[in-house]
Amino acid sequence: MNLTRSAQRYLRLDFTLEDALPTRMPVYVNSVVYLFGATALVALAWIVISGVVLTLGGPSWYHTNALGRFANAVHFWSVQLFFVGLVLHFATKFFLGAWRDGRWLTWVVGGLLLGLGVFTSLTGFLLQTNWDAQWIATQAKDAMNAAGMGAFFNTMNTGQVLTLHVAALPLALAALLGLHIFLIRRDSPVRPYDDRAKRANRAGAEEAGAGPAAAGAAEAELAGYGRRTRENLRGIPLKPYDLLREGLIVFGLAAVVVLALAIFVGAPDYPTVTGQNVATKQPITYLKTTVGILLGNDNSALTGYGPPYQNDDSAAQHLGPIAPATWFGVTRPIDPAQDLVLAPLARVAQINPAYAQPLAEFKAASAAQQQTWLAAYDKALGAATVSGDSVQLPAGDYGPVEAMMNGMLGLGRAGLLEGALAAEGNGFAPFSFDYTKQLSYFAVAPPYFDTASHLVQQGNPQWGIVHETGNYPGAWWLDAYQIWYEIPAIADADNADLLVVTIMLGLFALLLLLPVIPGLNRLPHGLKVYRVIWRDWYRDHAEEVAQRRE
Amino acid sequence: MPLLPPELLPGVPHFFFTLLGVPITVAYPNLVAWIVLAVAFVAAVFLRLPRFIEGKD
Repeated sequence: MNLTRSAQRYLRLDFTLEDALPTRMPVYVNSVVYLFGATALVALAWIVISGVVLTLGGPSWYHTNALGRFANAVHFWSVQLFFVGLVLHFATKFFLGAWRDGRWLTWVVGGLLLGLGVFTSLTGFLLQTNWDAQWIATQAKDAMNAAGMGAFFNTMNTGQVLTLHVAALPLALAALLGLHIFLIRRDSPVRPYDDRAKRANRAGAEEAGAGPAAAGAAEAELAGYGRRTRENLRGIPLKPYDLLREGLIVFGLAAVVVLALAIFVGAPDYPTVTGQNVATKQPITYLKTTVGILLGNDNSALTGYGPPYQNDDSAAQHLGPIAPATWFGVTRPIDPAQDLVLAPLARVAQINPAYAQPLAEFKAASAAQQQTWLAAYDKALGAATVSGDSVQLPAGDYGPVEAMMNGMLGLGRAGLLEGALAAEGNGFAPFSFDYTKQLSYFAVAPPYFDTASHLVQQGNPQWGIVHETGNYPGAWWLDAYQIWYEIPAIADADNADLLVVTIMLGLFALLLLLPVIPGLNRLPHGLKVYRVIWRDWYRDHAEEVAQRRE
Repeated sequence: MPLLPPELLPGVPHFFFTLLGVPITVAYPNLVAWIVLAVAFVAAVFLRLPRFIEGKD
């Protein structure tokens, strides 16, 4: 078998130049809804253009550079337009039943593109390297971990997120998009449902010239097209069409919208919550979080979390006997007390030996004694006052804990907390792109939740990952995901993330399989929206074409 | 007490809906996005493709 000859034959017979770049379209392609796919496509072009500019300076330069800020704003609004086009394109194709006549693969590839696009946009939000990214990274990790994806994808590893976002995911998107467009062009736009006109209209169709002669003319129009198109469009009148013109006009319109929004509205960029600003503005909260990590209470995001951080399968979210988080074991081992507090404190003690003795005393004490000191200190923080640079506690037996906490507070105030956390276990310093420890330090503590709640004025701390800071739209396409967390029975469940992920995966599978699910695949025919979109067709051609085909 | 400077914190009201008795909280910018989608779709369903986009032979 000669593969090259086979490819030649395929291109000659099944995917011709006229298929790829058609100059005629069936007359039923007569509605603005046909522009939504092109809208998503040109928005993607703007995403790529602005994205390439953003790559020139790395992930953080746009915070301080005017060109970077502008490119970031173009990128932000291009993504918004992309999802507007994508969702509307999907809605259109649903209402037209566009999977008919063997186009199920086009639908499935489109669904996969939607899923991949959503994931790519998530990595983009994580790459903003600002407060929004900080919040989303700590929130989204739970769903990833619950689904078992946490073993391969860490929302807090900015290096991994960056390479996925600018290389692997765009390549996968491009491959799927290429296949999607190839299938669309090879198969031609889906023909209207063969609804029959009323009997009274048939005579009118015959008078309009329907018959063998007209059928022959229509066949002649299909010369130059490949087999699939000729089969799909048999008997359908065509009209002149300029596909590239359409693309250029939509590209220009998208440019006006995106550039205007980027220039006049810009994009959000709120600074991160740092250890330094917590330590200086909310020292008691800083201390409560730090002692909470040692105690392993609710202020510690990763204590008792289970996989992928600790080997405690009972802590993983379960759905019956199924716990995907346990499938791949501990892939990112973290002991919060040791890695987030005691190890950084040891570095403080190296700089200031005054902290060495309290640290040694704490380590030498029994676990029960440690807990007693920590609990007493934690309780005393409720009555603590701030005076200048120091935090005054009521008299009590805190053992070495008070001195240790003062050391951690000093580390934070000096702006060295994140650096000390990065240094631990990093044999390749100064290179470090994984911010799991830094981002998770305050992840469930009041600074994050208070800031999130205040930014969106929402009492419910389940802000989730869909709301952008300020007056900007967020990832509204994830509202369908987030909405499940609004249901108390789900939000209050121990396995809330796994429940929501399972529901969404089920719904996504339903979406992909729609073309082959009896009943559901006839839903568009029952809804009749296509009768409005193709109203000219049903008025002028449906009867005539139906007669030709009989 | 949030940590960000107050001037960076514009008020963002939330809208509450009820779906099967469950209150749903949506930030208004996201709500605007969904309204844009609905309006664009309904408008597009009724609008014919302009000839200048189709071009001539």
